[in-house]
Amino acid sequence: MRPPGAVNEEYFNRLCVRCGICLEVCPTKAILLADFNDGIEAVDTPKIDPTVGPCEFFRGRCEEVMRCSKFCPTGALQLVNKEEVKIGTVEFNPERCLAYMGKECVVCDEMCPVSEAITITDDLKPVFHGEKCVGCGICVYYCLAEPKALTLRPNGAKRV
Amino acid sequence: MVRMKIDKIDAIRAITASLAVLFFTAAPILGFMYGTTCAANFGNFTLISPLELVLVSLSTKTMLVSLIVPGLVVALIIVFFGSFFCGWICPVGILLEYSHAITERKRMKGVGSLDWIGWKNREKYAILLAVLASSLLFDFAAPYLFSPPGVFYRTILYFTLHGYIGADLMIILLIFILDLFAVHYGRTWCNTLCPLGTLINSLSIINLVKPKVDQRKCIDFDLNCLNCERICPMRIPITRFDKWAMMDCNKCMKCWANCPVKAIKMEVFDRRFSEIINRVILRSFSS
Repeated sequence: MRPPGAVNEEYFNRLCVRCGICLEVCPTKAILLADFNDGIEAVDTPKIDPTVGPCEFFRGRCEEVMRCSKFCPTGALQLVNKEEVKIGTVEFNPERCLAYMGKECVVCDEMCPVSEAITITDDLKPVFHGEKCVGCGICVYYCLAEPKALTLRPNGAKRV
Repeated sequence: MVRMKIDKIDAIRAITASLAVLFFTAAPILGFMYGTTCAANFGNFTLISPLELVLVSLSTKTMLVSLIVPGLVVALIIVFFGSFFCGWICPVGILLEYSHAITERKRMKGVGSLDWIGWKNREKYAILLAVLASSLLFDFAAPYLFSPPGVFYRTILYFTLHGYIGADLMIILLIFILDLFAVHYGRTWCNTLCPLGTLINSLSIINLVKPKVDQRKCIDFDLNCLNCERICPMRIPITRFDKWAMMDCNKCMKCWANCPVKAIKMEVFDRRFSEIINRVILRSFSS
């Protein structure tokens, strides 16, 4: 997953100069460097791994604008409106979810910064709505199940 | 054969390089500068390394408007002061010199002989062109990975931020292994392969600071000394006045420190440049 405001994948790898500024300015240190597992053409480009740290921009813990995009020297990460940002989509695996196992857990819904991306049914089970999800990964980060019931995938990401 | 050894001037250069590492590590924490040597953001203005600027322009086939001024500023500094960066700031280069000083004795004999002088370090320009062509043709990250100071600072940045060691450490190790097995004398990576160093060298056209041999003091003619040419990490034929080869000079001052008769001076303004300045000033006053 790319940080918010990333241009399309092929252009991103060409435009990013691997300077590491986005890693340093991220207020929650959510951005990591891609390694050889992510493909030789993407080595050292920024990526977000929600199990390490979620993008906190949607929760208002960044500035008014996305800091990574604001400081990016080449425009590989571009400043876009909050409504147009979508990093990816969360994939839900009910077999691992604690709520579906009969325990009481609605952490994902409590933490989700987007209204109606996660709804809770009457018997306290979360339901995910992929088209509303912005892919910030906060629910993945806070998911209590082990292994996590949620995975963030780059499907449906809006790229500039 | 003269072995690489550590002089007082090398210790000073090691200190300046360490200070640069300290600066790049501490500045983001204090919040007045972000980034590495690839690109750095000082709040109001940005600086970008010339190699990265050329690569990003070639691979996207556009000129990024926001980077024209930062690129020009850095390019102008290089045009006037040459590859000062390689000798005094680049941590990989300094580390290579120290690793040489340790391993030199075990490496092949006769490497310090002068048979390579005729090469005039031209093979590295072919490598730079290949790197530029690869970024033009392929969606290929390798050129960024072989900009050694960038790789080094990225490793430090990633480690201080997250405690991880990324893909970069492997590349630094690769550079050192390549250097260990290399046959050329001096900083082999720098004088044969480094794309960043080669670009900086080919930009240093005016090159204000450079060593100059005083022919009246030099004992090469009588005794075939050539200590300076043997010690030069960039394989520059210092005693011959080769302007083009002198563009490679790192200003490391090893030749200056190792001359047995102190015949080498670090010349700041050469005659050609002061003549140009005089002419411009005189003309502007007379008109």
